[in-house]
Amino acid sequence: MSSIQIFNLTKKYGEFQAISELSFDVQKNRVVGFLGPNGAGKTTAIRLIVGLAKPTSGKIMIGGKEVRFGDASTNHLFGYLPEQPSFYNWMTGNEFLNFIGEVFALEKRERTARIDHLLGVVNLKEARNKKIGTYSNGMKQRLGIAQALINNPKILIMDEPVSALDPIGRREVLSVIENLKKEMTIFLSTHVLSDVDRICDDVIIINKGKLVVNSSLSELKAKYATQILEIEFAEDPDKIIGMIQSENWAKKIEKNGNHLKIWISSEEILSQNIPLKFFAKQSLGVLSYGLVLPEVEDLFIALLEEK
Amino acid sequence: MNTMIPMIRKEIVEIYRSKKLLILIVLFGFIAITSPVIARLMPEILKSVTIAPGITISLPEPTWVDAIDQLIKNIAQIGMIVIIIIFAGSVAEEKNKKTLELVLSKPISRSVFVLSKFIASFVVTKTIFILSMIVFFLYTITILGSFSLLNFALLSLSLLIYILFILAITLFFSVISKTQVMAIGLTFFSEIIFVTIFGYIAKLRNYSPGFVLNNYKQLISEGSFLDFLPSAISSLLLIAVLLLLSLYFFKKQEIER
Repeated sequence: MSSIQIFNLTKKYGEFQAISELSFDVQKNRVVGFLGPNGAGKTTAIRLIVGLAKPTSGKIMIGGKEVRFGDASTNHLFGYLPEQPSFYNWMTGNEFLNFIGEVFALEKRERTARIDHLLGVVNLKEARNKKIGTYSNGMKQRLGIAQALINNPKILIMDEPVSALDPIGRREVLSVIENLKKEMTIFLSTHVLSDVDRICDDVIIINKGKLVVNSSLSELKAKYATQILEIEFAEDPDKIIGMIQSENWAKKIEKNGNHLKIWISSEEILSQNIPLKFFAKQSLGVLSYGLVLPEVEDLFIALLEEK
Repeated sequence: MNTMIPMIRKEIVEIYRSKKLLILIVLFGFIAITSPVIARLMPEILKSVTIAPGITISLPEPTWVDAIDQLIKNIAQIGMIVIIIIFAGSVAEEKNKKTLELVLSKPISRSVFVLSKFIASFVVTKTIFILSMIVFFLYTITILGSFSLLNFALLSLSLLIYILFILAITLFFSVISKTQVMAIGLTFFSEIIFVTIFGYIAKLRNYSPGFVLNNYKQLISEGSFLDFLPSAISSLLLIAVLLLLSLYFFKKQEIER
């Protein structure tokens, strides 16, 4: 069952093609990370999904209904948090949520209860009667999450929900998102890859407006996991890097202090112990040798390079 | 349509909190009180200015007609300027400050969004205008003598239609502009165009939305509202066209980041 479906979506700005022939599905009740380098078209794609921008061609379905630009009839199906949301600074946090609740036609009693609950969830109860203009970026971001949840949506769409925040603000917002898991489909764009590792079930990666991959995070990791070797040496391995590079089994090398990460060309190389034999011949002491699970960052870079 | 009420309420609270309401009250209060006062004092003021020795200016006793002259002049100039500046940002500033993103991704139709701005601006301006006209009338009959309330009410109605027309132009340019300054500039520029078109084409003159500003004396002395009907009808038609155009362009607009 899909929450969001995109079919052959294209968006051109003059000659520039921001999104080209993009198609993907977001499955129900999954947390999906929407990734891509800067300028990949993530924000454009999200703005097309929520109906703020008009597709050049293609079709978007959300909660089973087609999104039509300029028509608000699908807007009650999702909650949306734009990147660095702008509020009416003259309102208090409470007033803003009340206004949004009225727009969603929530009855007064339900609205008040919902606002109380959400202000608790995003930890803004104390600041509820202060003007939004006096809020910090982190508070605004949390208020942004609260307003996106006011209608208890089945689908939550967030554009870079943590990128503008300091480490503490980021942890707070991520824990709010973690607590929402399983209750709804969450589709979030980010370039903070460690956050994806922490909260996402699936990833959709785009680059230059095109789909690179749409897969569950665990499958993606399994696919790439067997192929990264991490070795810790007793001393700086600088002098042998050149030699490793000339070996045809080493696709890529990354050095961090006395650690080396080596991307291996195939699994057979490992089963024949070829790298181990190579290092045994060197004069450097090997402290540890093993395969590592790739981090999202490794997958991300590998996938983009592959394409 | 159930979003119309919260949207209008939000607009009116915003007009209040951003001090725009206060500015309008002070402005129209000032116009209502100073117009008769200046009319009453004008001969004294002129008398105190010596132009050259030996020359004296003799002026007739001021009447309520002079107060009406002042009123129309003030509304046509400072009144309109302030109304345009205050409401030119209604849509443009929401684009500029990016508040549109949150609101338009909610179940608020674009027509409701634009119309709520128009209705709120009209409700606020109309209320303040009517109150200020009551003050003007009472104050003028107190210090300059009585005149027909009915004729004055007809004059006020004509002025109100003109204000409504100004609000509709302002809204239209606010919709198509990216910033408040651009909207103000375009509104003033279009005013000049309107005045030129209606002023220089004799056949159109009676249909000008600004007809009342040039022919108010007829209305206040004779109560000849029928003469004003073409202008009132053309104003209402132009307002409808401007609103439809505002909705049309706003529905086509992509909300920029």
